[in-house]
Amino acid sequence: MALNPRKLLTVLVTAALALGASALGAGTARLATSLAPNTLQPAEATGLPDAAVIRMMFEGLVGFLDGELVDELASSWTANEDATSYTFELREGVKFHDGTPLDAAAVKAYYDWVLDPNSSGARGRSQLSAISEIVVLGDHELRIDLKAPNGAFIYLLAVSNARIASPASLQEYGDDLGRHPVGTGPFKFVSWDEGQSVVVERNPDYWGEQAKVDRVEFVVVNNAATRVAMLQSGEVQFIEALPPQLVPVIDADPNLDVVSTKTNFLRILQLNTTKAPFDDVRVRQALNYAIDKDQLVNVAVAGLATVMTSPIPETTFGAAPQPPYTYDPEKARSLLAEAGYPNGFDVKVLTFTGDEYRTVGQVLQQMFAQVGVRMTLDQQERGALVDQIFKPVDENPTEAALVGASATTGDADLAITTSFVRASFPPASNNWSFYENDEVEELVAAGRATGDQAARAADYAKALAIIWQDAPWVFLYSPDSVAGRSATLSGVAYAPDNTVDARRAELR
Amino acid sequence: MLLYTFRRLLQAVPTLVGVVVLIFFFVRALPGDPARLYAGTDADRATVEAIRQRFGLDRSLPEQFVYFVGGLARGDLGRSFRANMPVKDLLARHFRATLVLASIAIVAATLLGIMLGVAAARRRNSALDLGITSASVLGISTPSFFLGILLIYVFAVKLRVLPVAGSVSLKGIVLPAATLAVASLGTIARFARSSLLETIGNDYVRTARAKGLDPRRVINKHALRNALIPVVTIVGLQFGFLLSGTVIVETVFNFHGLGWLLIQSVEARDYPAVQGLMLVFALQFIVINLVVDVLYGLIDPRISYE
Repeated sequence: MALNPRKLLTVLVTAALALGASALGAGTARLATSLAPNTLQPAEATGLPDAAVIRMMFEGLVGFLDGELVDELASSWTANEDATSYTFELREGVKFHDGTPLDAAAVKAYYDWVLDPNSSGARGRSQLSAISEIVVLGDHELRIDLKAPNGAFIYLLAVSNARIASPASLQEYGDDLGRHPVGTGPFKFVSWDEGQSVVVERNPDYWGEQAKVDRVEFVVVNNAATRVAMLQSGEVQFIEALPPQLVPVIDADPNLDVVSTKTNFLRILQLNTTKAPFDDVRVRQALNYAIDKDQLVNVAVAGLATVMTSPIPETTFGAAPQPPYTYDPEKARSLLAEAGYPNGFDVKVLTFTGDEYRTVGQVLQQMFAQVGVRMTLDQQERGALVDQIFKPVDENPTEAALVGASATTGDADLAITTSFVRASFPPASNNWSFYENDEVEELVAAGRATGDQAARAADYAKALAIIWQDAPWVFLYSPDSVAGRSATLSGVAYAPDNTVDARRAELR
Repeated sequence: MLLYTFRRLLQAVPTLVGVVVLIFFFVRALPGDPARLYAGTDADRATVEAIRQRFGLDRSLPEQFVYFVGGLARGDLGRSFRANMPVKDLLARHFRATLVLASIAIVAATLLGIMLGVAAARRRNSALDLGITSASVLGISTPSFFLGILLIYVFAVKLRVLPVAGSVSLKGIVLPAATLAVASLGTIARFARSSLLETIGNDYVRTARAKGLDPRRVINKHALRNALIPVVTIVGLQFGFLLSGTVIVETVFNFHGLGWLLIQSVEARDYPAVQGLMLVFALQFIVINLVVDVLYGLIDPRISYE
């Protein structure tokens, strides 16, 4: 075959251009998410889809990278000994996307807005409610004083709700703030098509390492089978929330990978400890012994999960592994007999709709039947279920609920507080088991009252041992976040908080 | 005719008022707290209360109703809880998508459906008739999610000629419109066939044939026109259903029309959005029924309205 010199030249030029482009980091990474964001204002944001997009554009003083606490806009920070006051040095030369310089005054102005009871940043306000005052010490130095000692405060600052927006944007956009995100992050806002997609582009003035793609587009695709088809057809390079039954489809394609990440989410059976028979600790322990968790995980989520070893997720600071409730139906039966239920009992378990909860519920049903516990599964749509479990103790009809729990800050303090202290009884928060233990209350208070991380960890370890022994839940598993990814994309994966981190996206 | 149209629109007012009152109280009777759902299950009480206040749900039910009706009178449907934008804008966006999709589907289904129905009726009991009748039944009874996934697999994943994700664009509309059209097409073809067969049996058709008129002219000029009346009714009904959002097809093709919006809004207990959607659906059926009635008059001059 004779090669036409002109044709050869064209091929070479095209190849060179393609190489040059990839070296510069060109292209648009397209990600299919399962849910649509509600708002892109960090302090207003309430859901995981919000958080994934917000992370691209906004930074906090500190943040998380691969589940580890790292400095972001702060170059360093220190806490005083009794954890009542935190001092931050800010990075110099950082600008918001609208050109406003990031300095101590800007941080104060923004956080003061969040803390103002009239602002729309309700979720951020509740996250930062520990703050009493923010003091500007210099251009790039500020101090945050707390109302009470809080050794876990730095983790509260690292979550999505505490990321910092340009104070200038607050006045400019008013009610529409959620649609005009202005941060300091490696990407800046381009467009948002409500319910459909959000596009962000590289911020060329970013203070840190430059983004490796021109743009990232988050496309909302609610249906899992559709997401998989879009990954197969090349319309997107990454898909969120891959259900276990579709994992083999991705596995079978040499150009696609399944990417799973351990999370700080849990699946548990909450037992209402104020209602018989769950007011007896022996019954609660018996149910823990009655479940073969390894088999449960294999059947329900294709093994893509970690069996719980502690009442809070393994990925959380302060998590301490406990002696397992090894599968032992004999022991379960004898504990039930000891508690006065030799013939078992009936229980109605409330749970969400959806494949995972249904399958888990059915497995529990069968395993409980082996020890004489007759369980019925009551699947309720989310709104109705939330209504029921948040009722105060006297009106709450729930016997047991198969639900999720999470440690959003990645720290034991919040994880234990939301689920296991009195102040969190519904409707205030998520202690749906109505679990109470004086020693746990004291240990949590002690852990919060010190800035000494080793001392905190020791307090939480003791509290967790008590909770594990008291078994207000049947401890099940921590599900992995499972995603599908094209071989052409790297640097995108789930973070432990179950949101996709695409800041380091790179196309080949 | 104009007077008739006006009177019909006037008659629709009580219906709409009924819809407004019903839907206002109905969405609020559903279990589920919009503020709690928006805030997230792990939010504390202060956050939930702040959001409840922003949504105006801290006011009493009668107060909320007065506020809602007052807004309606000014043409204001309120602000969506979930999307945090005026419901009017939200509806306009998603209505446009559904309107385009439903229109393309219904036009394709009507044209093809009538052609197939007529062809089957003209060669009654032939192989062609049998083929068309069976295909119609198959089209009606194939679940749309199955057909949709089949089309995606063939045209998007294997052949890669069309995108998986549906959208209001030349390529993006083909698969969802085809999926929707198939079911309507079957229904329309069967109606056209049976209606035409019935008409062909009439005396005036026999007379036309007896006087030696071209058989094609007999069908097209004499029979078809009369046979179309029930077909127009069924097309109107089908269009109404398509316009109310085709939840399953929209889900399979990730097409963000009214069906998608309805699911999102109900799940979030987005009261203003659900109210707006119900109002739109009620209006659509009123308008479509009116258009169908007017079309009767145009097709059959014997039908007239005082």
